[in-house]
Amino acid sequence: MSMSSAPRSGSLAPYLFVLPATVLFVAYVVYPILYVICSSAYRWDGINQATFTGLANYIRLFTHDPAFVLAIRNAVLWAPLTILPQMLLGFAIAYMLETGVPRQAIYQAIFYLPAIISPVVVGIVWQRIYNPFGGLLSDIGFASGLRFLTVPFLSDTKVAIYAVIAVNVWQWTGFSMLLYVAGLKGLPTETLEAAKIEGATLRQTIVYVVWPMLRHVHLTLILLGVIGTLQTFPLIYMLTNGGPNHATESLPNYIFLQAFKLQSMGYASAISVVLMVIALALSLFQVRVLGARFALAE
Amino acid sequence: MATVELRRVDKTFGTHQAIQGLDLSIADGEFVALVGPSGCGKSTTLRMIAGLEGVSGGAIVIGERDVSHLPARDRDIAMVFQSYALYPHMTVAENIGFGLKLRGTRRSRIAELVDEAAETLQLKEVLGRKPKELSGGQRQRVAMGRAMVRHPQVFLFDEPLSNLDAKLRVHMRAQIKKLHRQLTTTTIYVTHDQTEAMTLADRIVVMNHGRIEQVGTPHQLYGAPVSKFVAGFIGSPEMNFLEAVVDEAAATCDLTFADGSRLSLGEAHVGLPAGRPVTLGIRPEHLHLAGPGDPQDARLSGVVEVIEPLGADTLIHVIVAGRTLVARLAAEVGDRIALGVDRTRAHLFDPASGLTL
Amino acid sequence: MDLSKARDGASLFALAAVLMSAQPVNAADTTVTFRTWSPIVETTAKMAVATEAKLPGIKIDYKIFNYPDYIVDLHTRAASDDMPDLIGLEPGALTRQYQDFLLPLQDCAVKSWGADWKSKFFPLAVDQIRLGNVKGDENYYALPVLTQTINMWYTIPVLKEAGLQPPKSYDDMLKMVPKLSGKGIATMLVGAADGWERRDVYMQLIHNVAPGLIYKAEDGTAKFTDAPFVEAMTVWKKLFDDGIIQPGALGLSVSPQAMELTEGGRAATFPQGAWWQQQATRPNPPELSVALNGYAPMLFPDVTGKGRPNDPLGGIDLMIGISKKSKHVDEACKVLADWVSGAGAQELINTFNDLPAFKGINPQVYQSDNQKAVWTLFTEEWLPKVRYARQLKSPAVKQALEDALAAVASGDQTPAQGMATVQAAWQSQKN
Ligand SMILES: Nc1ncnc2c1ncn2[C@@H]1O[C@H](COP(=O)(O)OP(=O)(O)OP(=O)(O)O)[C@@H](O)[C@H]1O
Ligand SMILES: [Mg+2]
Repeated sequence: MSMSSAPRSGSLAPYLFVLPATVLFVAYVVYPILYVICSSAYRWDGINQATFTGLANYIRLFTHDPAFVLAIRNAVLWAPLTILPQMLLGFAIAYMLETGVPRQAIYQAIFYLPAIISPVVVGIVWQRIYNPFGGLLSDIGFASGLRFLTVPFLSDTKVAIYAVIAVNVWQWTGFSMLLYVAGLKGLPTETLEAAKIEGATLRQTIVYVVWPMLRHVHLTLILLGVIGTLQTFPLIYMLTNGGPNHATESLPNYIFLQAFKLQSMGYASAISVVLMVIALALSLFQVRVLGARFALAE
Repeated sequence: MATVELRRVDKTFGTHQAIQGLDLSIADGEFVALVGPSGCGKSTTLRMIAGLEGVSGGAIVIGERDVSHLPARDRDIAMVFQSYALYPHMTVAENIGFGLKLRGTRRSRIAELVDEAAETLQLKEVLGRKPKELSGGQRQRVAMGRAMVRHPQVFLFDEPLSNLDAKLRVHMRAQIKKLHRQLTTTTIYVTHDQTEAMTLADRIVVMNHGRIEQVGTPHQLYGAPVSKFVAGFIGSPEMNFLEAVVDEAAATCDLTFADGSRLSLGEAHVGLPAGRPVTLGIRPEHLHLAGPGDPQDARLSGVVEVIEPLGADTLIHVIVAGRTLVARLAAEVGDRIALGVDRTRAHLFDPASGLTL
Repeated sequence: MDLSKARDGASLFALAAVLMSAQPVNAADTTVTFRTWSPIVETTAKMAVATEAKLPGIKIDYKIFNYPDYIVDLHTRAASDDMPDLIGLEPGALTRQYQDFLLPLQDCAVKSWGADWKSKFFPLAVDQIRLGNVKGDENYYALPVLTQTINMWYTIPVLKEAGLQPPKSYDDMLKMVPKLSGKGIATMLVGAADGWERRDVYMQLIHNVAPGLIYKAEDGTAKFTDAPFVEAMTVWKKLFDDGIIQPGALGLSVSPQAMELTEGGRAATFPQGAWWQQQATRPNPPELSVALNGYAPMLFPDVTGKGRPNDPLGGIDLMIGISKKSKHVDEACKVLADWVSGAGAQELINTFNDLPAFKGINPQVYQSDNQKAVWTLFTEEWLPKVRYARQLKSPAVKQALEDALAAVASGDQTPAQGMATVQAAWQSQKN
């Protein structure tokens, strides 16, 4: 570039250019965050007069709220137990489809189907499948003698969260598969052939060549998975509504419960602040440690 | 090291027959180049030898083993791809040593062998880098290192230099030649650059439409092409072709061209019936400015239309009998010149079959 | 700024104005807006048509949400001071929350039905309007449109086939279990994934054990940890352990799962309110629901062993308030009154959506004798006698009770521990 690009002193132009972005950022990000932080210091039903209570909401949150503890525990379980199986299963299916199935597109569509079904339907269908009183799994369990299938999956507080996680995996594996199919299609054929010629077995090809070369897909899925974990709402709302007794509570569901059903907007704001801090920490982690080079194939 | 033999090899893709009855015998340590126009089946042939494509018929034998139905990894061959096909997530050292690692070679041994290859290929400085941090030439050398480190029985190259610029290509050509002299591994080398084939190969296989047109040393192909196709393919610039009719075939072979001008080939091609249509082929380097030594009936005259100076010499385009002939000569545009024909070097082809007469 | 763009914008605006003015709206018409979660759209549409026909010059603009979306919508509207004229409300906490936005409606009531308007409603309907009022506030912030009872139902052919009578006691239920479970039928089919369903069952239990005590606990004159509460909770747990409630109930939602199983003939009895009548009026009802032939209501069996009959529980299903800021208070009052007792009300009641709040409105058509008998039982025997409210005042206590019921049913807490958490929640919301 031969033109000098130093702004002329006194010119407003540079500021005008960033103004729209700044306005949007303030209106949609900064203001709501400040608003939520501020509300979290009040006892407030969201409509009427609020009472300033300082850190009381936070103290209650961290010392007196088993439902919150469960919501945090569930997030901690949720992230690895959904992301990893979704990645591994999605990859396995994608690899099989990509390397040897005729009419691949049909199978892809079938596996992807769950991802586009509305959470309402997913909730209804899976409640029905899990229902030990005439549900699909228990019928199979009784007929086949596989008694573990007759467990009341959603009503046992120790099992319920895993049952919900399994539904999430069922729903989103197809999405992972799709990204992996795209990733696999993008892999240079000759590199895979080179591995074949060099003597790699199927397992070695996958472990040493294919899997590492899909790094950008893994990172994208982890990023989306973590975001998804922090936003898990519709599925849980429809499937268990966080129950029984908060055993499947998620932070967004709990925020909704507190804010609207229990008319505790201040308390809900405190939970939101915690959620925000977690999200911020995770995104920093992702940018710093994993590197923000998602979706850019190397 | 081993011999490679293709016995009546066929390959069909769906209904399309890409390779038809290919017979080829390659001696131990030989360097063979496969050339031919795009789509003629060079890569397919190479990939069948590598085991990346199955054969539809016939057999491939490496050494004494029929490998036609063995997977690639059991054929003990190495291949260098046009795209280099390096593993992007591995360092240069890991790339080179990968095949050894897969075979369970000890780590210290791998390091030694990688080092040795890097030494030969001048890659020592970049062993720790990833492929994307290398220049094109370096990547190409890594691909070669990866092939040679395993000491396979056969090297297969599929247009390994076509992604390099002209200068680097010449340099790498020399490197490959040197390497082959050192290692004497049987090598099959696909290229569509006939210069590359001529300079590198012991023998050249010219392919067309999935068949072999001719196999021979560069010298044989240049001097005695079996067909117009081979004649046109080998040699640069390409051989000139002129349609003509034999008009007097008793003692000498005299040709008449479309515009009525004539050329006598002397005693070189006697025996053709009068009135027979032929295609005359004459290489640019076998035309010269006619001098006193050139008989009147061994000349072609025309007007210079274009000049292509190449530095060492010059190519000119001359309009003769309504066709453009290329000659390796110096002249000026617009000159009317007479070209002397080196009659013993002229070729005649049957216009219908393209075969040499 | 790009002037040509600005001109485009202006002409677009003009076009929009032309289009809008082209709509066939009579300039003299007043539009009354209505937002709610109940009744369903089809019913509301019929009510609007009937009422508009009766009140010329008034147009009704309604929008029906599902409940969670509705409370979010209401919240947003309150925050932006954009309340609809007519606001669907529940008695108790929801009404209390929006009280400052609501117009006291006693004047509207007097204008519509005279000074003795209260006598024209079922008593529970009038009582519960003020469930959420602060002590000393005598205003009526809404008028009731629909009421309900909370009770049990039984499936007539299921009992008949098994040779059983509707259960009157815990023992009766216990004896039903072996006769039904082999056939895949639940003695009591409960969609206990829904907190309100758990609470409805518990309210019937506690009113059997100690009628009315729970309201004292709400006022602080009794404790949720008192023996009767724990006893009722223990019975709740026993219902699960004895197999009276079907397995996996805590993972089953009322709608649509439990309802489908019920309509599929897999429930001998089930807790539902008067609203269950509307199953008969839905399009293509399953066989049991046709003309309501398959079901009859019953009171919750006695679980104390004392043979004490249970009082029916109930309350206001839907009441409607008028926004304080409404510009059409008179029109809104007229519409509301019509929905309570006029042509709109008749349309509503014809759907069997629930019971009326206003006395003397009955469906114009019954599809069967059973349907008529059920209606008569509700409106003539039970409704006038309902004394106890279905609702609790504090959302926090309500939630704690619902959580405790799940925790006890799943075995995570003992009945005593469960009630202790309810008491703790009561304590902390009082502070
Ligand atoms: N996988 C395939 N499926 C169908 N047809 C194929 C396939 N691979 C090659 N062919 C066809 O076989 C013929 C030979 O292809 P091949 O790649 O061997 O040509 P080539 O001589 O290497 O050409 P180029 O110089 O362009 O690389 C072509 O007509 C090609 O279209
Ligand atoms: Mg090729």
